[in-house]
Amino acid sequence: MAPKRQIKGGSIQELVNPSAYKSNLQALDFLRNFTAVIAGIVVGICGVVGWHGFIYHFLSQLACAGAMILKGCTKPAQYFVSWNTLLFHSALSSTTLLSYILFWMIFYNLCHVF
Amino acid sequence: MAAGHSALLLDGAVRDWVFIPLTLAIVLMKLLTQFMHQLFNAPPPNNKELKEIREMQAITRAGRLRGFGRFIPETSFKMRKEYFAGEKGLFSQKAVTRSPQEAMATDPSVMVDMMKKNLTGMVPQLGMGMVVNFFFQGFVIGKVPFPLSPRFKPMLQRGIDLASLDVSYFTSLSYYILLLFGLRGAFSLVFREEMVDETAMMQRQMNPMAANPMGVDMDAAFKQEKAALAQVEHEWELESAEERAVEVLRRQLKAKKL
Repeated sequence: MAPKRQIKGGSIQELVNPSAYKSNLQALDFLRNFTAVIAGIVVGICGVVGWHGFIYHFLSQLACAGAMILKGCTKPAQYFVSWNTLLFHSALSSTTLLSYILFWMIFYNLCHVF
Repeated sequence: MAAGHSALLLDGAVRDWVFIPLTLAIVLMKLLTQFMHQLFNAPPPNNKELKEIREMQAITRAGRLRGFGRFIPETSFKMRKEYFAGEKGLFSQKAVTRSPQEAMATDPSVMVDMMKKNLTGMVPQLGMGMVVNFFFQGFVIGKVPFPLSPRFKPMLQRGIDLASLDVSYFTSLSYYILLLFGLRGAFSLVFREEMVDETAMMQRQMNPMAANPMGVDMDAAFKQEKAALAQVEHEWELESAEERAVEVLRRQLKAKKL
């Protein structure tokens, strides 16, 4: 994100530091992937079958966002540009979803099918 | 599910000799391609002459001039603009850079570059797919944890013609493809970089012309810059600085008062 320019004569907008924003987003991505993998492993070992297994994925993503808020990011608007980025950024992204499905499948097969 | 559902019990040997080795093999192959990608992605050989580099930099400078021109006084801006876009300016001369077609034909290093990109891209994945298909064909390898509609059957059970087999069971080839897609996420954890190179690579395969790094038509770029420079209006920011300072101070005072 390029830093926002100042509007002449109008109000002065906030400047966004691009490298900080990018590293924030990377940290968020990392955590989301991590929770997807771990949740997939846990759900696979438990042997959850059926479509309602996906609910656990979204639950774990919410828990991840909650943990981030607890841990350090007390005002999400300061760290990300809008407050709902924390919740919705790559919430339905295919990488996290596919990782979840893959690890769920692998561990379900290892423990329950063989 | 319906009455036709029976849980198949798969032999432990299938797990030992197929499932785990396949997973390990694909993980290792992905690691290999990632490292090869890093090794081979050294910047392409810079066999450009001085003139070509100078022209590319001139275009960058002109772009910067347009963007940040408000920081320099009027006369300086006019001098620079004259240098670039004037009658005897830089952009009125003929560009020395060769067009991309000539470059591709005369320069063998471009071919080597493209070959390297191809090699570390789709080829190992396709090759591995063929190997997997050859060795592990004709049996189901696992079960998907959620029920799927029958339309997924040809996708997941490529070599098997059993009509009564549950759609949830899949063969090794489909498992291979699932692994390919699923490990992207896990690998981005390990490598901490944007590993979504595959989609970009696939697009580049479709469009080999766009992959050429020196594929910029310099003449057209010159014309564009000249036209853009002619349009730009210049306003020195120092002139309006006093008003803006008054604004800021007023706002500060208001905030302090509250």
